[in-house]
Amino acid sequence: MGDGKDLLENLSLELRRGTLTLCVLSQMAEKKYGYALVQSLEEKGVPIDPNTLYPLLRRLEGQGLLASSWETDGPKPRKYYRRTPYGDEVYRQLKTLWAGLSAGIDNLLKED
Amino acid sequence: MSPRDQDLMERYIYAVTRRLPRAQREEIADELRELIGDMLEADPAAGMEGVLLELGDPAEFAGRYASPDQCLIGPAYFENYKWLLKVVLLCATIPVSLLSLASGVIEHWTDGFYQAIVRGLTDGITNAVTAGLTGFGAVTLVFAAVERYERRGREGERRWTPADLREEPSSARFREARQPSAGKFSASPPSWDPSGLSPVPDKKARISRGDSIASIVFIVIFCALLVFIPNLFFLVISREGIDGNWLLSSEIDRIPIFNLDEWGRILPFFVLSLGIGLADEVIRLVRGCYCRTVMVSGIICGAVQIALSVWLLKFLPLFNPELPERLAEARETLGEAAWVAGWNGELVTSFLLALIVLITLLEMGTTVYKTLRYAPKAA
Repeated sequence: MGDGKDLLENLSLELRRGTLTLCVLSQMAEKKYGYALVQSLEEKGVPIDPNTLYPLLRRLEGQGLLASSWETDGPKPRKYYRRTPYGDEVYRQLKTLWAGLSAGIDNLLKED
Repeated sequence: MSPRDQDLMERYIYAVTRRLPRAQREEIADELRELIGDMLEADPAAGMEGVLLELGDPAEFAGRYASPDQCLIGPAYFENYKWLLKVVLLCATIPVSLLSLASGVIEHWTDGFYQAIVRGLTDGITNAVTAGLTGFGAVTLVFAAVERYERRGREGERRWTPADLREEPSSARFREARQPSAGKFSASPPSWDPSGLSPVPDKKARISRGDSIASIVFIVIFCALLVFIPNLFFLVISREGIDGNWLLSSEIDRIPIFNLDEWGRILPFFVLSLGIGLADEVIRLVRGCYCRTVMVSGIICGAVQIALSVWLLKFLPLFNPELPERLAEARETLGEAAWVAGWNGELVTSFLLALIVLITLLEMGTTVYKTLRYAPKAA
């Protein structure tokens, strides 16, 4: 039943993928760099692969939700990201959407 | 970092970035160096190999950087693409290969049986492959262009600009553009609604799918033959009268109807004219009934085809210039054989042109009449 296991993995991936943007945006009120974000998300209970996070950060920047800057004061140059005002606005709306969504889903799942 | 680790890291970075657009390569390479360095610091026991293993296949990693919607031909058109590809490939390769084979064999029959077969087969295969590749390329190009055009249209909706950094208006604009219905599973505001549905066409207004497909098939075959074996269209003149295996006999002349010397100049126009006819048929097939689009297309395509026919028949040397002489010769040797008529160039081209214009006008007229009479009124 290798297929069954793969299917479950795929479906789980889909489920998590849908919420990634919200999770990432929630952490970006202050500037952060890539790997620090990986570690803090993991600590807070939402692990994410670096090879998923980095392209996502780039994409969010392309969509105008984040802004980046290279900082060279540390021992090595680092790329920092933080939310733009537009990103703040989108995050606020998504947060509200999520509250409603998860309440609805919890409701559905309670019935079972 | 040891030199070995450094080398391994650089190899990985190269493997990822070479799959990315040129403009992004350097920056992403820097990001990766930063990331790998951090991961190594966080877990030195894993070593460079452990870190790279965790990052995974570089090809897959590079794939995640790509925008998710990249397709040469997207799902919306893919089925149609596959269908048209099948039709075009079958129509182009099968007739071309069979007729090339036959043509090759016939032409080289006098060189010997095996020579003829080999020659026929080589011709058949080469022409079939070329025809197939050309057809594939043409169809793919058209669909890729349609996909790109469509996507540009969709993406034009909302692009972030620095103007969005303004405080107040940005939230209002955001609300306008997205209308989030918090809690509801609705997608973006509907760009389609039922009042946009066109009425079911009157039975008389429908264009038979079979007719359109048959026309398309015929045009593609004819085109392929013109391109790959124009000498297929020949007149046969027997020097000694007709006997049993007259087709293979060396006692006959095969005179190409078309002017093959000037074929390079003539073929593009011929194919263009056929191509326009094909486009018109495709439009009819897609719409399925008489309507404004079909009518306009019919008029435009008809007019252009008439113009091209005039050009081909009157201004370009379409027919083999040797035809009159050869036919005259044959007439002499054969006597007054009934079927060998004189070839009056002027007369023939005028007659053909008149026929073509008449048929085209008739078609155009029918299309216009049917559209005006039976087409569903626009909602």
